[in-house]
Amino acid sequence: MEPILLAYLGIAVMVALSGIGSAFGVTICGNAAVGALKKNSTATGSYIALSALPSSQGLYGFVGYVLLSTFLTPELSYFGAAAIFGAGLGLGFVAYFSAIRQAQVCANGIAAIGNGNDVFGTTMVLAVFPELYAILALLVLILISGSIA
Amino acid sequence: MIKSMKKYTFLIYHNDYERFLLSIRDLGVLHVEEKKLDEVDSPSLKNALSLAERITNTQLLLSKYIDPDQTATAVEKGSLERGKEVVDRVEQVQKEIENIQQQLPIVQKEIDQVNPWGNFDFSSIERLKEAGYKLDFFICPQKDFDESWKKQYEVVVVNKVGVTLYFVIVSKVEEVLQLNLDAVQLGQKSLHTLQLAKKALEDKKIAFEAELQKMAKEDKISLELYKKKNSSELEFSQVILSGEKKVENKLILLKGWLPVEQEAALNKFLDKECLYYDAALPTPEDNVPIQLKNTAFTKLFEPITKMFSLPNYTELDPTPFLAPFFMLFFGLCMGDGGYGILIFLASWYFKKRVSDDKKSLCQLGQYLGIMTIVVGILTGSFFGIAFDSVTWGWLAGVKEYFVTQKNYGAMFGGYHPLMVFAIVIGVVQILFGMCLSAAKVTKQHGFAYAKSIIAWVVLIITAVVYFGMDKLGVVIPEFVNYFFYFIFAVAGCFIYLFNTPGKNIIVNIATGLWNTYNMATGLLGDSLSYIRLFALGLTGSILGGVFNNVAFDLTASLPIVPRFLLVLFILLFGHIINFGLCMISAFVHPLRLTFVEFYKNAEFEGGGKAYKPFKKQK
Repeated sequence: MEPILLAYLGIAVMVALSGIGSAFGVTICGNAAVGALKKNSTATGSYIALSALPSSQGLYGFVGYVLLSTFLTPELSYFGAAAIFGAGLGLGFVAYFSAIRQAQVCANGIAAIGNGNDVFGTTMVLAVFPELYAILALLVLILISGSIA
Repeated sequence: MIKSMKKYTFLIYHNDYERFLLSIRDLGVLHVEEKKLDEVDSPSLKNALSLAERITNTQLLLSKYIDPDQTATAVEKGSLERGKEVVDRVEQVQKEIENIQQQLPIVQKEIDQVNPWGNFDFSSIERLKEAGYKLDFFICPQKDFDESWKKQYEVVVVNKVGVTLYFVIVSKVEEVLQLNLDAVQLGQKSLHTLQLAKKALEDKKIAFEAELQKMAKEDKISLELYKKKNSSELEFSQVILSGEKKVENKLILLKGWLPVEQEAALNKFLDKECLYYDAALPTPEDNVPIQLKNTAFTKLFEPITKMFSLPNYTELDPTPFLAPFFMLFFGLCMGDGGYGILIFLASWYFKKRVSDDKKSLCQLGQYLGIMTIVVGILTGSFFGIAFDSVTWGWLAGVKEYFVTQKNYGAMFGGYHPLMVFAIVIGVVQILFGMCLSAAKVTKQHGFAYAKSIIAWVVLIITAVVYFGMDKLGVVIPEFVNYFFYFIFAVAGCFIYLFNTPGKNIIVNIATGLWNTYNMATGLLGDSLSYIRLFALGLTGSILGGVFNNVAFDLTASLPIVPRFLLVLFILLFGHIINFGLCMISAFVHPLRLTFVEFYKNAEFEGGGKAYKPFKKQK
């Protein structure tokens, strides 16, 4: 297998999984928001804000591509390709699960706001905890890109 | 900034209590410490709450009957009596409409049952019975119909619907029919009667709905007046019940708060009254109501602070500190000068046309638009056009100055300059938050408790400078090295040995180690979180560029007129979608960075309740 093919596989896994995770995540929150709107239509802003939080992981996948794109040349070595593949796998899987779990926290928060509880701020803070691991995976990717350079 | 408050305690003679409260309401400056509604057991309060709910439900119901094409013709003055009539009448009408909606399916079912038999008079069946004959009604699928029945009995096929036969058998009253079918039992009403009944119900429903529409159009002001009166009475009842009865119910103890600047007005009134009162400064245990006081610019960002929580009285108002960062983050996330121009123009246009309470939002929009234009100019991005890549003559002299990967990538080690800037601004906000945390701790507990936080800030800044200089290849003289080591050592002492005044050294060291772990994990994660500012800005610009390319490349082979129209359509469609997505992201992500990363490092506690003076409702 050519090194560049291995590298692009890693990029594909990273972008695809992080994007799919975010897509699932915002959908889970959107569904919760529609249900909450029936009970409490005055908190639309809070629902939208919480629904947008799981979109972060897709952004991290994109940032990962931007950081690694400079290495994607036909002259890429197996060392570089393996590093890109590994970094892409790591960020892709972590971002996928992190987005879905974050969305579940946000969806519960949205449901609580729909029931009249004032939990917007606390939900936003709690939703960050699953995202921390996607950030760590991005950090690993940054460190790996540094080692390739 | 949080306005200074003073606590007032009054002892009022029970006979003067209501009169005193009416005077306080006229003054309109005192925030009365009210008991929670579920702690109060009062029938009049419960009635007022129930009435408030009824009025709100009435308004909600009538809002569905407002025709947006018709202008409101609300009776100019309205009246309380009319408001009460409307609430009672709307509930009545609603019940009637619900009854009709329950009856209609029943009548329709009866119609569907009788319909295949056609319109006939049931009295004819009675006359037949008197003559000694009966009429039995039968329904069966055509395949089950036995032709021999026609020979056995007087069968008349009335109707055929699909594959179902409707037939009657005329027979003598005493005759027993030998059919393997059950006769259908019809009601006593003819089809015509049922249809008339259905029409009557529908007409009644239309009439009720027309009445609701009329009330929605004409009685809005009366309802508002009635709502305000009830709300005012409810508030008054709540305040009355907030007083604590003392000395065998002869005296009422009432507590309240007001801003120090309003003290003179209250004291002038109290000096004329015959009652005992005490004015004191708040204590740390008090839950002081919060009124923010900010400049015209910072005031625009108060809705953002209130979205999370008002600060409590012992800490700093975060609004002036989050305002410039929020503006910058918004601009970075939008990242396109063309979209900035649109935001600015739209805000400027609507500012003259919206109600007074929405003008501040438009003003905020103008500032955010200006920041987006600035970022767009710096990065050379307008409606998805990357100015550093075009070959326009008038840009030739400035192209190399736009902050892009092409122009400055090499300077930042191959990284996009905006990505580096996003992380740097994140670290700046985090360190700024830590400084605010030190100021807050100093205000609450004294400077001794803030030393370790300041030491952390100094340590991080010194480490960044020291390792940054090393990375940039700056040769550091030996004595400067020792100076840096000295700063590290002093900072280390404060972090590990003086972080918890009054506790022994082991507690201090353990706390220092715990803080080090939190700092190492937290600072890293928090800084990287700001990378989203770069990602969102870049995504928006690239997406805009993609729509531009699609519009022009896809239509390259078309004649000029259709090409122009199609290009315009694609550009409008694409940029509207991109603009909408960017706007949502540009609001939400800076909000999240403010509420999570900034507030966490600033150790923002929140939990403040708003200052709401007891006054007459306008």
